[in-house]
Order: sequence, then structure tokens, then C-alpha cells
Amino acid sequence: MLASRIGLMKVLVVVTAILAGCVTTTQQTGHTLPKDEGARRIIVLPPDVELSILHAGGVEEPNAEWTRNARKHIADDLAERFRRMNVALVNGDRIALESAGDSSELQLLKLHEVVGASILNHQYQGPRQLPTKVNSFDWSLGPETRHLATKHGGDYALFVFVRDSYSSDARIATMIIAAAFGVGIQGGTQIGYASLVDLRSGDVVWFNLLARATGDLRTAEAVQETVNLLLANFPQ
Amino acid sequence: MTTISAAFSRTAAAFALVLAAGMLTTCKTDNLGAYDAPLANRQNADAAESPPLPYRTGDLKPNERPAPDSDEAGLWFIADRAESQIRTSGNRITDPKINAYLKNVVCRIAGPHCKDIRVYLLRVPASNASMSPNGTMQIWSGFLLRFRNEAQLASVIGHEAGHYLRRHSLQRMRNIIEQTNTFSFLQFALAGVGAGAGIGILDVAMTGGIFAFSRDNEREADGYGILLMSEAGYDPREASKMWKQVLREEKAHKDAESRRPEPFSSTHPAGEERAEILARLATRVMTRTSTDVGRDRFLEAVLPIRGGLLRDELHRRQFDTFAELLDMLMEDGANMAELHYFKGELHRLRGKKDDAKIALDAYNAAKTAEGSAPKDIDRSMALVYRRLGRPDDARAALRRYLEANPDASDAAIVRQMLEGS
Repeated sequence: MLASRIGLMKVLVVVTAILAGCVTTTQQTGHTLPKDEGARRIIVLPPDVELSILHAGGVEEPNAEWTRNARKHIADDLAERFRRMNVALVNGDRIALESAGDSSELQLLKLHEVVGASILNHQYQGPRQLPTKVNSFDWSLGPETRHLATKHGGDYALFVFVRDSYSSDARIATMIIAAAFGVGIQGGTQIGYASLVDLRSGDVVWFNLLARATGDLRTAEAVQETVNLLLANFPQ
Repeated sequence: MTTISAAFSRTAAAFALVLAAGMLTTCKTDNLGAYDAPLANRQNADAAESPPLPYRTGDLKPNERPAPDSDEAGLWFIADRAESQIRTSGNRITDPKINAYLKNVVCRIAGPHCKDIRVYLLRVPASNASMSPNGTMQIWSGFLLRFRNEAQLASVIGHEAGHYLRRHSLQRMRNIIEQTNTFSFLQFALAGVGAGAGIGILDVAMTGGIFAFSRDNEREADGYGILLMSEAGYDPREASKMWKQVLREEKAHKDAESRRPEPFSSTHPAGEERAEILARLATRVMTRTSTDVGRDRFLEAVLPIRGGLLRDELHRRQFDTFAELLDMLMEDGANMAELHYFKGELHRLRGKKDDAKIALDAYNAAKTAEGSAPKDIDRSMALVYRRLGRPDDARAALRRYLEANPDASDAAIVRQMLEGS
């Protein structure tokens, strides 16, 4: 159930994004990070990542080992990047559905899952874009997010979500044969977003969509290139 | 992630169903093969030759975890994430007593796998239970109303444990990948001759359904369920009885539907076949020690929450099946006052001809029957009296309601009604 919904969402986003001809598209409120280093502490939540093999018939088979490595590489890369940007990083490793102890925190994490998916689906140009979002970007989790701010000592929270698939050999063969007949079959894709929430207001102040048919998260070097794109136009 | 519009996921589900029906049903309906496999495996365990296992899957051993680089690990990874959603779900029933009780039955059935299986009770008024590959067992609260005793509950837990032990999800995933891979060339061939547009939709449809099992998987799990319950000392004949109860309710639904024009409500014998085969299997696996039914233990655990479960069922407004369910519970006869009360509620809410009178009779029966009815019974009676044109009786009932519930959230408004009338 869960898996199929994510799969469905991904297909929709790929279609939308590829039609729009973009790799990354940023939405933001124009928010800038405060100059004071003590007021721009970012809680980096564990990246929600899933890597899978795309089989010839279109089934995506999740790969646990790739996923585990990619998670670690992304988290490491973010830490290094924010260190260079002089942004204080709050380790959010333990802030996850698997371990959340208090229900307010849990509800906020679940709420961002839903809001993030809604932005992905309804903010960007395409058949599912809401008319009210064409010229505006105004999504919020509400000021309850202050709970996260006080509990973990952060000013912002960064959520990262990536679904990355790799064509199996049989899929590639199918694609090549199909192409010879002038038929296009989609190969592996990389869909993701990074979302920055201001914990004082709960507003999503910056949201960046990544959607492309290339990219790799299986090695630390390749991850760097993907995170570059994920964090394109990150507020300074 | 949970926000795809309902309509779209319904469409996808429909595609998945069509696909599943079209390509995955190769099962026979007349053999005992899959049902029999668990028992045959047990009997062959000492013999040199054992039957070939589908999709290269042996049974899971206690504490076994998939190898990190395997396809099974990927499946567990998804299941782990789904489990954290279930564990933190708002409609999970967290009452420690009922959860401890369920866990206890799981452990008795699953033996050495006790720690591998985590059971979650979800507040959903329907009879269902499910198993995911990593040992997450879900039981929907509505199912608890459909068991008469612990042995019947154990038969369902045994069935789900069978899915887990036999790695049915993994079999299913490998099966789907193989079948869709074969099918991909057909897609392509169709596309090549100009019928191309379907590929994307098929892609969408094929992302679903890994957690649904095939019919043969279900049969094998039934076989496991009955074997495990018998080995744990439960009376295996209760499995078949449980299905007969479910069928009685289904029949009540169909009888009601057949009075309305409903082209899709064709009868199908699957449930009856199942009940009949389970009864036959029970005679094979029964031993002198498999006699435990456990009605008292079951009632002790479930009666404290049954009122809430019945209320959820009532709110579905499936009056025909609810009436049948109440009849069955009354035949069993535990806390009759509560059952009469809900019979009254059913007729009060249905509000057809004569319903007010039937409701009143039921409430009166609840007042004198064994057990205890919910404390708002007099308010319900007042509403019915009013409908019957008996305002004095209605006022008297409201006064009794206030006496019994002086701090009720609607006490102020009820007082005002009494003063105004």
C-alpha cells in the first residue's frame, strides 16, 4: 500500500518534471538566513531515501544495502557542506518515526511527510498544480514547530527525500530494443526534494525539487553531485 | 508518504486488480495441494526427499534476518518503514491488556518465532488481519467481534504466521518481477505495432500489490494455521466454525443486496470451499491434546473493549450485517445487556417502519438482561419515546439519564430541554 503510493507519486512527478524539461526547480518565500550564526542552527533530519532496481516489466525492487549507504553518504555530505557554510548543524539522527518518543514530535514529522508530498504534487507546473499555487508559495506546518526548536535547539529543520531507481540489465535491453522501433520506455529516475522549515513560524521557506533520468547515489562521489543539485539556490 | 488523491489510487488499485486477475490466477480450485503442503512438509521432514520449494524459499528460521545485499533485505526495508507508520498510527489500539493478550496467543502459536512477530491491533471495523514480510502482524479490531473464542483467534494468527514463515511476500515479489518481466516484451511488441500508449499505465499498475498474496499462498497459510493451532493445543475445528460465522454475515449482506438490483453481487463459493476444507483438514491434524477452545479467556480479554468495537460497527450503518452479527453474539450470550442495547441502537438509527417499537423493546430487554448496557441508554430511550409520541415517558427517561450521568458533556442541554418542554 505504502510502497505503491510512493511509486505512483514518483511516476506522476517524473512525467510532470520531464514534461517541464527541468532537473531542479526551486520554490522559495525569499527568506534569507540570519547573519547571526547562533540564530541559524539547522536540524538535519535523517534523509528519507530509497534506492531500487527498475526491472524490465516496470517493477521497482528496493535495495536495502544501496539505500543504507546512500543515507549515510547524504548525511555526511550535508554535514560537511553546512560546516563550510558556517551554519551550525544540529544532529537530527535520532529524530525519526522509528524512535520519536513524544507524540508532538511524531505528529510534526508525519505532517511534513504530507506537506512535502503535497508541494511535490501540487506546487509545480503540471496537470496537478493547484490554481492558487501558480503565483505563490505559501506552505506551513504551523507554529507548533517551535516544539522541535526548543527540544533540539535549532532554528530551522531540513528534510531530504529521494527516490532513486536504476535500470536492470533486462530493462536496458528492453529500452534499446524498444528504441529501435521508435518506442520510448522510461529508465531509472531520480526524484527528490529538500525542504527547509523555519521552526519559529513553521513555514516552508525553501523547497527544491530534483527530477531527472540520471544521477547516482551509490558512491560517495556521485552523492556529492546529487546533493549539489538538491541544495541548489539554498538560502544564504 | 500518503497523499495521492483517492480517486487516482483507486484507479491504480483497479488496474492492479485487473492485472492480478488476468495474469496471476493459475490456481486450481479443486485440489487440497496448497492446503495440504504444510502437513505434507511436516510428515516429509524426516524423509530424504522433500517437495521442491517455490521460488527458492525455505521456511524462515527463528531470529533469521535476510542477508544485507539480498532482494529480501529490500523487501524488509520497505516493511520496516511501513511498520513504523503502523506503530505510530493514530488508530492503533494501545490498551495494554488486550495487546498483552494478543501477544500471548501469538507466542503460543508461533513458539520459537514469538519474538519475530509483532502484533498491532488497529481500530478498523472490518474483519481482516495481515502479515508483512518482516513479521509485522496487523489485526483489525472488527475481527475481534467475529471470534467466539481463543481458538478461532488462534486460527487467524496461525494463518498469518504461515505467511511469514513461508516467506509468501518474497515469493510474491519474485513472482511479480518474473511475470512482469516476461510481460514487458509483450508491452513492447504491442507498442511496436502502434498500440503504444499503455506502457505508462501498466508501469503504474505494476508498482502495487506486492503485499497481496496469491490464492495458493492463502491456501498454504490456511494449512499452516490449522496445523499450528492444533500443535499449540487448540481445537482445530474452530477454524472452520469461524469461517461459517463470517459466511453467515456475508449471506445476510447478499440477501439484502439481492432485494436491490446489484449486478456485481454474484455468489462465489470460495468461502464455503474454505470452510469445508478447513473442517476436513481439522480431522487430519487433531490429536488427543488439541482440545482447548478458550472461550472464557477470550471473553475476559475482549468484553472490556467490546462496547467500543460494537459502536464502530454500528456507525458503518451496514444494518443487515450488523443485525446478523448481533444475533450470533446473542446466541453466544455474553453481556446480553450490551447486545440488546446495540440492537436498540441499530433499529433507532435505521428508523424504518416499526423500528422505533423494536428499538424500545430491545432497550427494555437491555435493562433486565445479564451484564451492563452503556450509560446513555436512557437518552436513546427518550429519543425513541419522542418518536412514538410519548412525551411524558421521554421526559422521565431524560431525567433518568441525568441521574446516571450528571457530568455528561450534554447534561446542560438536556436540562434545558427538560425545563423547556
